[in-house]
Amino acid sequence: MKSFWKRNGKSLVFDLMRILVIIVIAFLLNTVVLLISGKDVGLVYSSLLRGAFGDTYNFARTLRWSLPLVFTALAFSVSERCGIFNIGAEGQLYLGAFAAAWVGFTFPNLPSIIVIPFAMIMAMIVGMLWSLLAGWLMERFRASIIVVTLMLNYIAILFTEYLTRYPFYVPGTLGDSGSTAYISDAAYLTKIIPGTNATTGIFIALIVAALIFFFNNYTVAGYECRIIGSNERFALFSGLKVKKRRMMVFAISGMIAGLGGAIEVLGVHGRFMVSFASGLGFDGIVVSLLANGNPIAIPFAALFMGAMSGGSITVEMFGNVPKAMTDILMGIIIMIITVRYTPAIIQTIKQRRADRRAMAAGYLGKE
Amino acid sequence: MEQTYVLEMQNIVKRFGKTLANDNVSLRVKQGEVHALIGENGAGKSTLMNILYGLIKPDSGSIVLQGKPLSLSSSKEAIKNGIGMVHQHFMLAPSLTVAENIVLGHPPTRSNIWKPSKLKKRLDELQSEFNFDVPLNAVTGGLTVGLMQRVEIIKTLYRGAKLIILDEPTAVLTPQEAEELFVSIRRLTKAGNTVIFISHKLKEVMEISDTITVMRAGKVIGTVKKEEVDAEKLAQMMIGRELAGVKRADNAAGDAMLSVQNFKVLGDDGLTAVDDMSFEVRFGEIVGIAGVEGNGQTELSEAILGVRRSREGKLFLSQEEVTNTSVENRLKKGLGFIAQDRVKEGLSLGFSIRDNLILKLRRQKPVSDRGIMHWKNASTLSREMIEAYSIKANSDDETVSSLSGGNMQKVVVARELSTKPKLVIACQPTRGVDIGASEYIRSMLVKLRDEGNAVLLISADLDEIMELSDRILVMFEGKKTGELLSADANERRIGRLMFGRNDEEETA
Repeated sequence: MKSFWKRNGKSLVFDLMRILVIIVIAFLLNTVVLLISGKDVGLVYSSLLRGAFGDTYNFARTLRWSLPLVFTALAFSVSERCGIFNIGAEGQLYLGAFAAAWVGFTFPNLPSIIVIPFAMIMAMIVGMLWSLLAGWLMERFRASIIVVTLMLNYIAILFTEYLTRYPFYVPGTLGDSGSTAYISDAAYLTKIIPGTNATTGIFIALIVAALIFFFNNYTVAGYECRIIGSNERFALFSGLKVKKRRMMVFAISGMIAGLGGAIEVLGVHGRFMVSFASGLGFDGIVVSLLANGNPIAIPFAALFMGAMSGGSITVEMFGNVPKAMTDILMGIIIMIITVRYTPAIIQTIKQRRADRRAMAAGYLGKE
Repeated sequence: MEQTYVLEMQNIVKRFGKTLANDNVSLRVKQGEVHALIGENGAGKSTLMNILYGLIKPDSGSIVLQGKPLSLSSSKEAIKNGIGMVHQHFMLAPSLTVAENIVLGHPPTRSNIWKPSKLKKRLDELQSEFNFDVPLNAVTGGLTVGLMQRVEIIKTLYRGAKLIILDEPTAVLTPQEAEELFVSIRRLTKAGNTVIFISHKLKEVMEISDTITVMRAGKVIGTVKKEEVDAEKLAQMMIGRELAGVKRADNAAGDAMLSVQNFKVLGDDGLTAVDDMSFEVRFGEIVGIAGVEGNGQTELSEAILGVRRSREGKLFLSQEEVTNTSVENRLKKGLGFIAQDRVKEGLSLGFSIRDNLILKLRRQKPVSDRGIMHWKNASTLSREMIEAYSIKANSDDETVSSLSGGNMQKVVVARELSTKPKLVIACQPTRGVDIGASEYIRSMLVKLRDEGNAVLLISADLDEIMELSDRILVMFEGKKTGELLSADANERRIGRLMFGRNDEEETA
């Protein structure tokens, strides 16, 4: 257990601290902006906090918005760790969501215990296949993975729109609503806070995060992925099956994103709606970067992002500041993440500390 | 007759971080002599010479030049005081003419007016004085390496050097070019100049020098007259013990472990890099591949490992054809591979020593079981390997990037030998590695051989090849130009083959 803590605990604490530092800096900068524009800083932040965590309903809303981000962030982080900058989670999430909705409305007589896993598995398969297509294009044609996944996102999003508007068109009560039929009652996820959108999907998200953590740190394949991500040439020279591992990672990434889509449909919307999840993929990337790709830190980073989405409404209602303030906050955070200088400073501090420890232990200078 | 010393360096101390590069070093050089400064890589020769040339400031110690104390803070001052240095890597602008290169930075002008006629006169004087014959108006880039070196020497003379430091001048030359260099050196000293000749090739040291100073591990071991010593004695001083070479068992080579047949491999540029190459490496022998770098050795090694495809020909490991199989399959057949560039191909720099050490054992118990890593066992095993290979590290958790070059290479070697390979391909295994680690790695390769395994050694270091190999192949422009038993090999013969010249020419 000690070794567990040494290897994983230290980096987890480090990653959580990192999230905190970034958020604090972002808020400080944002405060400057608010002060310059003459806003009541206290009121703005208290209403943000109230909107995010104020009562059960608000907290449930924060959870609801965090949830899909856990999936898209995990999907991104698992590929990034293997050296693939895969931004295809959004498209896979759309296809997964549609597949789950299709199962939900096509098999109305199945009991929950069957229809929910069925819908999730279908969503995972569809997400996986779409992701594998991106992987295949990358390996076969040496296509840029960023461009490929970005373009496949558009195709997936527009394809689900086509499916919704034509083959699965339902003249809903609201006319051309851009939605499919509702899923059967049995297909809905159980709500853990009645009257809200906080569902058992949270547990699924946490289980997936734990599984990815285990995969990353305790499986041979996860270890191989890490080596591939750090130095592909070294991996090739060491006889690792780089292509095979990469395809595996594409598959895992696609399954996670697809599952995230299913949770959205089965937990919140109850049907597939055109363009329902705009931006979830990219926010997921931000979450993953914020969490330094650490699957245990990702839910915390996602919770913060969810709180921003949840709180932004009350900021506008009570804080006398446009909702866009949270976008500014996000922008500042992304800037801080992109500037890799912050961690570099922390790294040098860590290194100095390690040196001092080593010196104390008499290691240095024994030569 | 007591000659005066033109240069006296006294009690020079220079420390780089943890290592003592020069430990109380004293060097006395007489007027008009060729003074050889010898020692293994990392012995402190270059540090001492860089101090003399003003590139490095010593921590303590003094320099006396022609009786006057000297304090140098830049190479400019060294030049002003008549010290010149020819580096191993030439500092010439290839697009300029020889004359332009010589005067570059020090044009013969007054009030910044360029006077070509005066320049030419001065250079002609120099050339005739030392009997040099360098085409002054030729473009430097088109010259041979030997000529470029002469340009460098003229450059130092032009700047008024009376004491010329030659840093491993023969390393880049063919044996024939080296002969010509020696003729030039003799002319220089005859005219009253003094030459400090840095080398670790004992034969040429015995040939050219009058006095020899031996350095080892930052210290001067001794200064001797050439007449008083022989090459063996010098080697003993250099290495610090009886020169037994690397001890090797007297075992006969067995069956072929590696067999390469009519190999053709393309380079990154799509051109043929290895052409019709055939050879065997048998159990219990070390086969060395000599050659100037860039003559197909890299491509050959990569094709044997399987990261590069062979276009023609066949490859056998233990008599089994593996021509178009995966790297993994070849590794399973008992192949270990020490890559030539440990940073790019041999390590994950940002990861721990443990991560780097156990990579090849990742699928074996006790490191893993049914796809699950057992990090505790991996850690124990890594610590054992760190201990066994005396890798200097604080813990197995330390990142590899914090290790020295030698210790990084030991990590690579430890990992590649961890699978108990039957054939090890070692590409430049001691490049950029300190003496201690180099020796250790070489002895590991010999140990592998003595235990009946096959070793293919690819190295640009001819001494290393000759010291370790049972058989030597020479490659030139992708082709095998010769194959000799190490008993029949000498530097001259290999030197000829390295430039594609026929082996028989010499005897004819």
